[in-house]
Formats: sequence, structure tokens, C-alpha cells
Amino acid sequence: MMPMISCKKASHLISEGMDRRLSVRESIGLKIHLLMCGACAQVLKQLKGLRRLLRAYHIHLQTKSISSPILSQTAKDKIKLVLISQKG
Amino acid sequence: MAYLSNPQQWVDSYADDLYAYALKMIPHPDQAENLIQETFLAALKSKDSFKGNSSEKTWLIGILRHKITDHLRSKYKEVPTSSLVPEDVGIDAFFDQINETLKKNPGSWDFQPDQLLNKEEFWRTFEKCLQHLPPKTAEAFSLSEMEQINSKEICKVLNVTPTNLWSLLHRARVQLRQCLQINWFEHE
Repeated sequence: MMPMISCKKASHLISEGMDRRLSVRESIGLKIHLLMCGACAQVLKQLKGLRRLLRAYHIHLQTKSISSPILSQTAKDKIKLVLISQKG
Repeated sequence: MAYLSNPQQWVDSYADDLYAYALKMIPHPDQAENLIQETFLAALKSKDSFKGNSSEKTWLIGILRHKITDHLRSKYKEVPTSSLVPEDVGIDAFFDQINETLKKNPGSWDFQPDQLLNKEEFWRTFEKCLQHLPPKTAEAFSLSEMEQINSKEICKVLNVTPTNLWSLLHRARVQLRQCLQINWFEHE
């Protein structure tokens, strides 16, 4: 029987499982750990939630306008000057 | 020919949105600002190729995305992979040294994505957390989770092996999770 993996090992596998396909052995080891460890199961849930949120935000950034200006007027004026000088 | 607004107006219309986008990828104001300027310049040069298949803003963001990956590619071109830090740096602090259990309870995150999307305060917190990561770690995370570029491509851009990339992403997730927990979710 495989020994139970540690939370640290589980943390690696939780993350890597989001980036690559885990081996059968890794996947079983992680599943068993998650069944026994509420804290790691919670971390997995949070990381998946964060991934979903960031994907939605990525679309949001491209389609919606932000509500308040964040780039300084000085920086904007500087860019405008550069653009004017390029236009010839 | 597709209609484009006067380039003079681009800055007023889109600079803030482009800047917000760039900051999520490169969380350093001066670098992000430079990338915006380069984006507008490139757009000016290629404005005749604007097809009108997308909105002006989408077109500009497309150019910005290329500028961001080009910027990273040239930044890491000369850096050999072997100079990477060992994989558990930045991770060990979160686990008990002896039995390798989590030191702190992760806490509960109860959020509706729709509500957080418009909360700019949350995204400023996120940016600050991203800023606290080592640059390459933050960049790997943004390319993967925001740009959703595949691992193979990210490895090329950042000049790392897949194993290196997985540990960069692992470190990013562990540290970002903790940072958001402390600076956002615990206060909610």
C-alpha cells in the first residue's frame, strides 16, 4: 500500500494537476489525501475558484471599460506627444 | 476600409483600459507604461491593416498582448535555465518542517465571481499580491492563468523547462492564495 502523501506533496500535485495530466499513481495519492484532509481540499477549491475568476476577469478586461482612470495625465500627455512626433 | 478613430483620441479612450490589462501581466507601473506607449506606436504604424473585424479596443489589446510576450521573451533570452532557484524556495515557509502539514488553516473563500469582477479594490489587492512574487514567478502565473497560453509556449517565452514552469506556477499559487487570504478574504 502507498503511504499517505504529505500536505506539502499534495500542494505540489494540486498545482501540477492544473498544468499537466497527473500519473495514475499521483492522482490516486492526491485523491486519498484530499479525502482525509479538509485543509488541502479547501485549497484545491480556492485555487480552482481563482482560476475561474481570472478567466472571467481576462474577458472582462477586454470588453468592459474600467470605471476610474488609473494612468496619470502626465503619462498620457507624454504618450500623446510621442504619437504626434511619429505622425510627421 | 474599416473605420478607426483619430489616433490622437486613442490615448484618452483606451490608455486606462490597456494599462489595467498590462498591470495584470507586468505588475510594474513604469514597464507597463512603456508597453502601452509601444502598443500605440505599433498601432499607428499598422493602422492601415485594421480590418474592422473587432472593435478598436480589442485590436489594441491584441497588439498589447504581443508586446507583452515579446518583452518577456527578450528579457529571458540570455538567461540560462540553470540559474533558477531550487523548487521549494518560497514554499517551505507554509508547511510544518517535520510532518509537512499546512501551518495555517486555509480559511474559507465565499465569493461570487460576478461580484468580484467589478470590485476594483479587489483587483488592486490582487495586483499588489502579484507584485510581491519574484518577477518570473508572477509572469509565469499571468501568462498561464490570464492569457491562458499553453505550457509549451510559456516555456519558450520564459526560457524554462516544463518542470521549472510547474514549480514557478506552484509557488505563485501558494503565495498568491495566502496573500489574497490575508489581505482580502479575512477582512471581508
